[in-house]
Amino acid sequence: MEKTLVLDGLLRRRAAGLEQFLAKHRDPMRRLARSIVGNADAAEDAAQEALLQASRHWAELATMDRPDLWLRRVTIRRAVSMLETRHAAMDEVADTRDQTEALAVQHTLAKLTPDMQVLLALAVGERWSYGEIGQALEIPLGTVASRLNIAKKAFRQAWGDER
Amino acid sequence: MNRDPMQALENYYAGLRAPIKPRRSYDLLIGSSVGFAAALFVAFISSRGADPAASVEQEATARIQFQLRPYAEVQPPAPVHHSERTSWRV
Repeated sequence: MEKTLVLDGLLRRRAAGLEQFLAKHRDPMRRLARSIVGNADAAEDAAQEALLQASRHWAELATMDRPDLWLRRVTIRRAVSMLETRHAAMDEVADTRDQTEALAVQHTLAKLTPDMQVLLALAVGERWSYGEIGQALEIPLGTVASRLNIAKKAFRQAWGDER
Repeated sequence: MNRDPMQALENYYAGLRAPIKPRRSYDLLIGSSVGFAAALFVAFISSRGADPAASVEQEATARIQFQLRPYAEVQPPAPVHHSERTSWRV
């Protein structure tokens, strides 16, 4: 009887922890995915899939120091796979003053590789530090810096070609 | 349009950072409106009589009658006797 009560208490606490975790990270993950895929619906799908995966693995995640890092990685992976399969058509014009410019940026980004798009989204869009990007993509700081430079150069080049 | 590609990129991401509306906001809105209307209807019916279930039944019957009335008002055509027919074959 006592064991059942203890287990019940543990399960309740675990469920409450998961609920809190999902509520806290839902919007940030949607924003992150949106920066990468450039489309709110596809971003919602990517974030939902990542959160669903988190809930499935919550028993292990609950023991981690930074479960949010795991969630970021999964969200990025989901968003990248959408970019690769082109499920995430960039049909949503960003809410900027200059719609023509936003469309031009979308077309230019579409010419880059998914890896480059992710780096630009994290560095320019999400304003993450090199450290945060390195942690999320599991690459060293130096590699982040050099790949980001290559991505920016490729973007400038493609932007010039577009004009 | 911006000539600086990096500034254009910044502007683009700034636009994406705008708050995202929940995808199912319309569903929720419709659902809550229907729920609210249903609650109002039940409250209205309850306030009219002692037995809400009976009132609901009456209301439903009245609705059906209302819907049927236009058809009921249309009189069936009067039977035409054979002898009254005008026929080219006499």
